[in-house]
Amino acid sequence: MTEEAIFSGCLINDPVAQRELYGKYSPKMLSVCYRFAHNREDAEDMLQEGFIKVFSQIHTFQNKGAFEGWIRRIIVHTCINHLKKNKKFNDSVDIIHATGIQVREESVPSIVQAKQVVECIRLLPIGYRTVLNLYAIEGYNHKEISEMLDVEESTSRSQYTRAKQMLEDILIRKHIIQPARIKGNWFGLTATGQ
Amino acid sequence: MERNFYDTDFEDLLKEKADQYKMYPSDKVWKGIDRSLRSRRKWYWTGFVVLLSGISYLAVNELIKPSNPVRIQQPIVRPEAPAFNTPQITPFSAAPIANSQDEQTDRLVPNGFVVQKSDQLTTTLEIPLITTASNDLSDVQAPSQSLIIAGIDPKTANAFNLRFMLPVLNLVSNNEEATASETGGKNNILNPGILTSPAENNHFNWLQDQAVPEIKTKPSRHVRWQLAFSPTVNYRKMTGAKNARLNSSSGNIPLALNIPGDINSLLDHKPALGFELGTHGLLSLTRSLTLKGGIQFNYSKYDIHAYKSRVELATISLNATAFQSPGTLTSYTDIRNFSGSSSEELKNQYFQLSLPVGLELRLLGNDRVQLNIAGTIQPTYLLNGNTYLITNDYKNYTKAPSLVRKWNMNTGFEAFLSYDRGGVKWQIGPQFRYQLLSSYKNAYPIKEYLMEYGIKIGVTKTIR
Repeated sequence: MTEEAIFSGCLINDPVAQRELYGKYSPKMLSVCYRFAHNREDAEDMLQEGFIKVFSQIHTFQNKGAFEGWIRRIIVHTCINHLKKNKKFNDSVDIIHATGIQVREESVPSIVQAKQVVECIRLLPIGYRTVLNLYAIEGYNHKEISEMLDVEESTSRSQYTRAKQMLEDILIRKHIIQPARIKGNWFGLTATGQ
Repeated sequence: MERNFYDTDFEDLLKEKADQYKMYPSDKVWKGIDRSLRSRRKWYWTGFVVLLSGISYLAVNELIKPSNPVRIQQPIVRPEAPAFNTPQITPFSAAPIANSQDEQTDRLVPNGFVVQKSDQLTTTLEIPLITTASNDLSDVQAPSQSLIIAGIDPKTANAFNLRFMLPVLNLVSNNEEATASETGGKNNILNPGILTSPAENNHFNWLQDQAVPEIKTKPSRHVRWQLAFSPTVNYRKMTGAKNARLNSSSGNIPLALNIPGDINSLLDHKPALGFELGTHGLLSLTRSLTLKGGIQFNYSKYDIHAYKSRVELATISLNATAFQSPGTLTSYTDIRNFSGSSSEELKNQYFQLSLPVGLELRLLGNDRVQLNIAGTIQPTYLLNGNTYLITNDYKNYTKAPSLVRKWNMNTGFEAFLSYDRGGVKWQIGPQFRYQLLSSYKNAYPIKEYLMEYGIKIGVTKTIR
């Protein structure tokens, strides 16, 4: 089914098209949710809520950008709202002062490097993780992040800096990257894809 | 630790790795989404039904339900020309009868009911009077006086047919006393006993000898308001496709052979229940002919028995139209007409808004019970639809909203038996509705005409 046919079907609430759309984008969107969520169950809740919004607001999509990008923005906003609603983000605002946080020494599966990276991101405290996700992966700027999270722009910047440092430490400790590697080859296994 | 991070590289690589990662959600996520989406639709329709029910309830309460607990038929008053050259009393009309339910109000209400303290219900009839000096009734003026008949028993009031011609000098002289005491000199009051006691009725009978042909009055054009509901059975008639049949697309594996035969015998469709809800205004043109117009909502559907399959190509060949050259419309579908992995029940549903305009003709009956027929033409707009189109090779069903016609024309016929009681008319009878244009645009080679059979139940209130 082409994306155009899926889109047309979803516009008229065709269950087949809706199922097709869900099947096409849910794996990627669940991984987005997973990076924000505490656990997989929360991530699935976010995904469900996000897709309900996608289907109910699909008529508002204008062909100004990629359909996937539009879906992704809805999912990300749903994740942020979910965190705010459950006060999980607010409770961790004090991470600004949380220097020297001990990273949990959980075993990180080394099956797939992408999964390792995601699992390492999830080891970050939720405040750091949220800002890092939004800035480094989702591509929002600090002004947008500050509005989304109701924090100062400078707070977003500082949290991102700390988050990046902490993630780097984790990645090195897990032997996923090597320190002092040259530009463009931070992930030691990238070239081989192992 | 030496850090030679280049921010953008770090972020790019982070993004790349994060985007590579995919997780597959459990089944319960889709079930939750699906349940939520369907229940939203249910709530939408529940809201719609509640809204219509509310409107109907208000309509019944405010417009149809009589405000009087007891109604009597409006008395017929026939003015008669005088046989001798005396001033004449011309009753204009008997005004509608109103009511007062206040049990403590033992008072005279013009044209209304009075509940006396003894709980006996009586009515008052007011007849405007005019005095003219000659037999010429064309030059009548607005009534300056009224004849009020009070204390009539409502149970017998609908039986009397007043015929009187009073020497006005006597009436005036008699009424002057009553007027002064009862109504401040404006109205004339007759003793209520006059109409209920046979003996007293003799006061009027002496006038009957001088009866002359009654004056014909111009028939009034009644305006009525109607609310009607019809449970319906819906089906469709299909034609066409002979000139546009295609071989199965080579991308449509397994290939389906072209199947000759009547389309109606190749599709497994079944009638289904729907409904029609409408409100109309009616204007009496003559005693037996009525013009009607209004707005109505139709929910039509029929069932389709099909089969689930894997996703495959569905191709519809398109006719040439004034705006479009011949072509094909290709989409993907997982529904087959003939065979598949599992049975699938579908519904073709139509939600339509129509503006019926037509005529009602009274065939038989009197003022109370009538047999009528009616016909309407109904410009129709498709509010929403959930329709599956069969492909030209009859193999697959698919959706193509762009081929569904938004504006259509329907025609409706009905016959009904009506019963009029106190200005409220109830009716019931069969109706038939037929769609004049295909449900689909001309480009789609298969034509579908919807049909509805139903029993219409209606209630009509005379407004004026």
